[in-house]
Amino acid sequence: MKPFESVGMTALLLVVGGCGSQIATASFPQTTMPVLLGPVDRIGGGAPMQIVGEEYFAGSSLAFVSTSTTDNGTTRTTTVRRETRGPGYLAEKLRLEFEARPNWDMRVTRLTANGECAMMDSVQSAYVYVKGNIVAVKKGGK
Amino acid sequence: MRLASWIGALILATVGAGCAGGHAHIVAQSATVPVSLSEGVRGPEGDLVPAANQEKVGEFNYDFLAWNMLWDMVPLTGTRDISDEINGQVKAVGGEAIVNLQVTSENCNTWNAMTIVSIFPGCTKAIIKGDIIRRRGVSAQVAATNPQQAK
Repeated sequence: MKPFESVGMTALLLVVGGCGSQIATASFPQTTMPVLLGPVDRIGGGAPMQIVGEEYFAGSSLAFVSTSTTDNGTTRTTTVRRETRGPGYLAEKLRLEFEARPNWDMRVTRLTANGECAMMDSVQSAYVYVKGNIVAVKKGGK
Repeated sequence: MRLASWIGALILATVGAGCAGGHAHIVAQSATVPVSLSEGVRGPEGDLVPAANQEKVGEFNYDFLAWNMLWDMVPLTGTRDISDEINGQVKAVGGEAIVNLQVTSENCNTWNAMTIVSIFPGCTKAIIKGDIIRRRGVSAQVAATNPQQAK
């Protein structure tokens, strides 16, 4: 590529850009512990169930790609780093931390969808962050 | 290297690292039914409703774009309350709860020259899906009498 073409391509990239699409999904598949967004803790609603214990959970699903290139004059090397954490990661994390607690629920206190491109698209990411209180509920304590 | 060169390099690194994107906090503060990101949901007495006792009566779907400006520092969308969409879609199919809620974040932004000068908003698409269910054996009419939903 001639120098002026290279400059032209760079200018085009700067103007048009183009963030590669990264997709991250948060969910808790095959998990029986309720992971509640919102104030209603059971079908039918009513006064909230009594909370008798509390712990915390935080995790995120993620899709991340970074690209870097080195050129020593004779060899050009491009390194691509990818990291992906899907819904299964969140479910497994929840299971490992709070397994076998039938009377515990998670009350989501933060659910954030985020996507970013940086450094002229050499870093692209999407993530969904989930944070919540793990609460022990007393059945019939409504 | 002269001081001016260092300053120039610092400015270049700063604008080069500038990111385009968006984020939004998703809440459902006035949802009238339980909304769960798992298959777990409790019945009126506080017992878990087994998956086998959940009848899927519809799908919840909602998406929106979350916008930010100034290298993602100024949120234009901020917090999005999806309560109205939840209440409306659940009521329309006679449901009692939403389970298996999925929240997906997908880049829609573009890193470009405007990112350097920070005035072009970036965005992220948030896609929210879930299963609208009611307990087996409960009719849509009974589900609609839920005192919370009747509000």
